[in-house]
Amino acid sequence: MTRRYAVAVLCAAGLLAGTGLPAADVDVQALLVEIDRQRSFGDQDFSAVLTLISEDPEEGVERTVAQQFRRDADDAFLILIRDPAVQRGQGYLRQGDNLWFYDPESRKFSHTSLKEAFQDTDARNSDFGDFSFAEDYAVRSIEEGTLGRYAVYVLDLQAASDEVTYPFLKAWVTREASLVLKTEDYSLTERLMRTSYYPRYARVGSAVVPTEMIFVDELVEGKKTRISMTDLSAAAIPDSVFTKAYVERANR
Amino acid sequence: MPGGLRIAFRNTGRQKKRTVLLAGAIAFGVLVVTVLNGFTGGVSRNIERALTNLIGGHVYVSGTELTESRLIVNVIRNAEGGGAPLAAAVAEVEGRIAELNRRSRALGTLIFGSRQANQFIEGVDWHGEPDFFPSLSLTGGALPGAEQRNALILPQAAAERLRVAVGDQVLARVATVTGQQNVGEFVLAATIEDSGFTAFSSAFVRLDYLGELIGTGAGEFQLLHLYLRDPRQADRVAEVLRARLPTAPEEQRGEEAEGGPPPGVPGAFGAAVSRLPAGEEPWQGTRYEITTIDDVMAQASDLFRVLDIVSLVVFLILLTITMVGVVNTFRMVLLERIREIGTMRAVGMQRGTVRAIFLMEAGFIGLLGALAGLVLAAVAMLVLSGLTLDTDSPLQFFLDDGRLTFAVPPLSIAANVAILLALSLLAALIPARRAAGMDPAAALRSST
Repeated sequence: MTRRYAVAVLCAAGLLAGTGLPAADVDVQALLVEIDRQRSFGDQDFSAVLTLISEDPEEGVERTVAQQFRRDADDAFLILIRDPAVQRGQGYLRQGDNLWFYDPESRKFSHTSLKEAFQDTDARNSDFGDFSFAEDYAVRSIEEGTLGRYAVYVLDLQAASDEVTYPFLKAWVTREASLVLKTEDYSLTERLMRTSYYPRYARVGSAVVPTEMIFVDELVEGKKTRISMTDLSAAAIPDSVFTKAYVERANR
Repeated sequence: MPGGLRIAFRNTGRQKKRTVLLAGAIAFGVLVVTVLNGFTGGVSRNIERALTNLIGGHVYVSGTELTESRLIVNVIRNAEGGGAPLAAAVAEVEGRIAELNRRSRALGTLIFGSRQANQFIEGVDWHGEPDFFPSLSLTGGALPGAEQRNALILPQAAAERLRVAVGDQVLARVATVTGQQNVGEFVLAATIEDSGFTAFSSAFVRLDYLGELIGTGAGEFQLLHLYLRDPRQADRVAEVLRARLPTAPEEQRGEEAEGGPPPGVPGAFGAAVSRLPAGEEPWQGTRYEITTIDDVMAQASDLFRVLDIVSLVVFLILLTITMVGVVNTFRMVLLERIREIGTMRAVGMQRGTVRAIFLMEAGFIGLLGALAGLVLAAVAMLVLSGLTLDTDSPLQFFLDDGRLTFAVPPLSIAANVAILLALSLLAALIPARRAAGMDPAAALRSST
């Protein structure tokens, strides 16, 4: 079912990037739509096990394991924390525009945002769902360049709505397969806040998903988070999974 | 009756030791309840003053708008941008306002090197607020000048957590009013004493610079703080403002969404940006939320009411025990004075006068105890309020400049004395009635 096919990128942190000529002939909107098409599961469901290794110079290294369920057709996802034991049972349930955080200690759901940090790591809640480059961003410029041994387009993007976490984004996208290898996430004042690397991809059903993501905090020295995905599946997930009742039941 | 009064007064002094013991027990009860009442009254007053200084005012106005994507945005526009109704409403209560301050507030993450700390960041028009700088207790650095646009004033504890020194550059990660990420660069200008109350412990920056970071426009802000000439007018002023401004429907006011901020109520204290729940009616323009210091104090006031009730219960228990003593004492008095009562009755004293002598004697003892208790309480409060407590900062919040203060409402003193006198009379009532009901001939024949 799951077929790895693009284990091809060097350790992302060591990549040498180069930019060059403006890519004047590229249909940038079509490129964004193609990136979205590759990333989206459409009518298919998706599940995986996430392992997050978070490195903080002050807090040390923390490992978190979570089960992810995702249904792009309904803008829904559920992430249930398995490890560490102290956070076991915590859940993030997205239902359309609403994102709920479940705390098994208080047995209460609280409203949170896709723009918030995930479990105090460098990942944002929005990193785990479907979002659209084509709808949420406008291209300010596009250039051709290289990232390691890959020929890429370097897209300079500006948010088209207030729905996205980062108002400005730079994305390195392979010219051949339209895969995002790296992004730089900028604040409203256009200060670099985070660099994200996507060194490994896998095809799951009709979509291509990054199976490894590295988020480097550019504001806090030495802080980064590595996320790897295993047990990828595009098997159908029961509707009941994307409900609050399921999250509560999972804790019994 | 003046004769009866004189006899009752004389009788009070006949058994001095017994009288002193009874009055002493009553005085102890009065002392305890008065000091407790004074303590809760003083702490309540100190907290209210501290909160008024910390939050900045007696009446607070916040505004919310709804974006096309139904995000609830916390902002008050300037008059040109749609804030004219607020300006008109405030003009109506202008005579009651002593000072009016504009603020914005964000919950951000301060970053210095590899260290970071979550911190409330408050934007202050510090050169437009004459009382702001004098209200700060500096522990390091100097107050920023008008030209220092990105100056940061940080509570000492936060500075220590970040291990940052005056002059260092500190980054602040904040969210805009719509929740997007932003970063500001600040220079630490000064450190200040901690407020002692984490929920209100804020770093201070310039209002216009914070506005840029959180995405409010020029001249826009998030909170309007009103200092009133008479703080007791807070509810009245809030009523006027609510009547003149568009506000959330009554049923939504203060109503908690499941785990989130109340619908229509902005993250006035730095809460996450929320979205209008599906099914709720969207609104146009700015909707205002008006709260007062009394609303903020409501929970603390409940606690003080409970403390007052507890002290009253303690007082009643002490009095009940004392009154058992009073009953027994007057039964003994009755036995000791049977012949005397018989003589007085034989020379024409009415039953009512005999009863009144007993009751007045009990009343004198109660009054004596109450007066002694009040004097002792005054001395105790004077001594306690003279002590300067070297305490952790959280307790300082309840103190006035490191000292305990006491405030006893005269009404509660009057109520306590009235209860005390009523119970004293009640305790002496049965022996008094028995004395009044005595047959003079039988009493004169008695051997006691």
